[in-house]
Amino acid sequence: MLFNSFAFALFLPVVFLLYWRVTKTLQQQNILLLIASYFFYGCWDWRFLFLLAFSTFLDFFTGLKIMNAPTRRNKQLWLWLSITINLGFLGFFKYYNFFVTSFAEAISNVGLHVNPWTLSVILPVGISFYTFHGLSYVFDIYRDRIKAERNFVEYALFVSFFPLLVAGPIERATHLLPQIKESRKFDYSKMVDGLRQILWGLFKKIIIADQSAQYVNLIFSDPSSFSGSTLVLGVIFFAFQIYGDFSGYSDIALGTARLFGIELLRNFAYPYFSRDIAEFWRRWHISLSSWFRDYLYIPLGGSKGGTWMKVRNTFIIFLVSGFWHGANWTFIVWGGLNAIYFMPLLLTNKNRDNLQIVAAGKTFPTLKELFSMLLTFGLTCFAWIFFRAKDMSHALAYIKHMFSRSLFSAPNFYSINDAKKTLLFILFFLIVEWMGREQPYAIARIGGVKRRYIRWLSYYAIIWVIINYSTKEQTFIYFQF
Amino acid sequence: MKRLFYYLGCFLLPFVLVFLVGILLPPTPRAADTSLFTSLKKDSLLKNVPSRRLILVGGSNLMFSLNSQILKDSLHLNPVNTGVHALLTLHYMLDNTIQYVQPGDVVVLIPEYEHFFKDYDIGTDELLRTVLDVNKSKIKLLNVAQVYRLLPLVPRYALTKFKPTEYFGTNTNPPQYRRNTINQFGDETLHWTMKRPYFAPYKITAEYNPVNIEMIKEFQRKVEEKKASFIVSFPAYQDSSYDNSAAKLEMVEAALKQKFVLAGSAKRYRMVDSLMFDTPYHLVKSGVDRRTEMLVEDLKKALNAER
Repeated sequence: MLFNSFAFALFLPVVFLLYWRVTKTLQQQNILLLIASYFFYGCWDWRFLFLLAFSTFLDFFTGLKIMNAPTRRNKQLWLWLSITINLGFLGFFKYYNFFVTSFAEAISNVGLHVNPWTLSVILPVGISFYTFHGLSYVFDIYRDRIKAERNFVEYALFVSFFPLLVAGPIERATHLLPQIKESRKFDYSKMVDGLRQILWGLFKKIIIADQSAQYVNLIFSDPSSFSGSTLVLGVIFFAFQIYGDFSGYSDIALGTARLFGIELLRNFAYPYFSRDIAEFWRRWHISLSSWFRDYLYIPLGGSKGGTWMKVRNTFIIFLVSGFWHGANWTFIVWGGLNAIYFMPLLLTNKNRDNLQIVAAGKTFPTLKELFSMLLTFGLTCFAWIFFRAKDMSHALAYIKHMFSRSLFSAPNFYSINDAKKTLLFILFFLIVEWMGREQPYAIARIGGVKRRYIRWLSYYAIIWVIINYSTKEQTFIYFQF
Repeated sequence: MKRLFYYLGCFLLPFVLVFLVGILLPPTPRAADTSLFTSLKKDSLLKNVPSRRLILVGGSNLMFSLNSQILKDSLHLNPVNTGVHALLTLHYMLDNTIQYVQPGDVVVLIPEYEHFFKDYDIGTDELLRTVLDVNKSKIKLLNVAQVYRLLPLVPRYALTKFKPTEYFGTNTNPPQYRRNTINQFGDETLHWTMKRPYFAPYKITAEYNPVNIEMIKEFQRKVEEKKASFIVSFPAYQDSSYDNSAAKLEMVEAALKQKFVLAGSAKRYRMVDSLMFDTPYHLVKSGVDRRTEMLVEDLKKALNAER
């Protein structure tokens, strides 16, 4: 059940009405949300409900065991059991074929040939996300940051709450569990705010991402048949496709959760307005970046152990982050490239220079800021080539054709006129995002406009564009991770 | 809570009104000049062409790739080419056709291959426009899955009624896809004299879905109940598109072979790329004649075998 589907448009109001009108107690609300979440997940593939339930039970059980273990060694034992099983499932479903074929390729280089025993494994949707939910929970118990949850329903809801179940944000027990345990009151302004954020998320997904996707698919399908400038345009479209797709998903998730009185972690904060790569990574997929920071980078020593340690740890988290996205060398190279981009900032101690949003309180950025943003966007786009390419040879062919003489010709392909319309939408989108960059999401400030008719006209305009320019409903890119 | 519903209701009311008006307004001049409207004439042919008829059922592979005059002269049957668009879905085509079948008719079903893959056969905008713009009485032919699929498309459809370009702009529909381009049998003939544009070959990537095989079987039963004959054949298909999806096309053929009398085979109707017009199913004039002659041969064989 996609957020941008008719099925979800029916599902959400039904759950919303039952939640606020029928349920009488907090426990009933939580049970309803849990049932709705399992139904939501079961609509993808009911067989994987068992995997979700098992993973939930495993972490609930090991969490209690870690908390009650008499010695540190016993705690470690239970922690490792949870890590091994969680990552074992993730590894099997997501990485098995990658490791087997990579191994076969590696030993074929020394003259040995084996037929890799690959499996037709279907990747359970959202497995990377809910595995990380569960892992953060057991890590936090192990480090005595939280106490293990004793109410199974509440814990299960923390793992499977439907707005975040299939593509995040990757929540923390410290943030979400207390909200699940507290009674939630209906708040009109929060409901309207939630609906507004959903609307903006739909705009990002349907207008920016899905429109861009048409040209991305065309241009990436055969790089050799397009000019260098068209390939540049293809990457720019992809940059907005993936941003619109994933941040649109996150906006819908946050807005939906708000309708039930729950605030989820923010996942995007205008990343394309970043002035350097470090800032970009503080603004892009924030819940994953902070997960890696807290559960990998800091345990590895963080930036405490001198330059070599910082460099090593930075490379590790970027490479692991790349690998988290998928079992393909392209993702690893994408992660590695970002680590390389990060190095000059790290080595000159400038990685925390830009903590505030660019040009805060001003209408326009300075020329220096504009140049920094464009440079960061350019570097990011170059790395996206690897993210989007189906394999390394595809990525390298794309780059080779991009940096050809035709780089300086005008972009040209048979749907260029339609693409110009999409570029206009992207321009409009950038302007709205720029104007709203100090808000939690770009159109949040519409809620502060006093005159109702102006607010409503703005919403009508957005809805009109969504209806008028929607294409066939398309899945979200991050569901594959 | 009441406040939320009150304002939400007020907010949505204009949308509901606009959608209702949009649905009730007649089709825009641009929409009314598309090939979907040829189905009015085709229904009239189904109603009025005298027996004994050769009723050809399928998508645009029939409309754009047959010369019914050759069929008439060779088989001495009165052809009715009902093909309009593959996305009208087999379910709709078959349910629409069955009501007009008469004793002695020969019904030849030539589906597009896509009809047997994933949920292609539930339909989309073309089907919605057919039941809302062309003939509202056809809504009753839709099944539940189709209604569910088409409902979310209604808002966009309704909004097109308020677009000035639909009324005043130049008609951008390609000439061969307009309303008055079919001959007395239902064949589209304008493109026979047109230059062939470039198009990319197709590749079927979706999963095989056998549901329609059973539906065709049921249709066959109804046709035979009406004392008419039923034959299944294959569309002309572009060589390079065939190569892209050979295993899938042959899977469809094997499934059909198990259940029906077939006229020809999938391979036999492979057509060299130079004979294709603007899709892997649409032929240029020389291709149309060649394909029709092959179909004549195959139908003769199938009809003789039936006797």
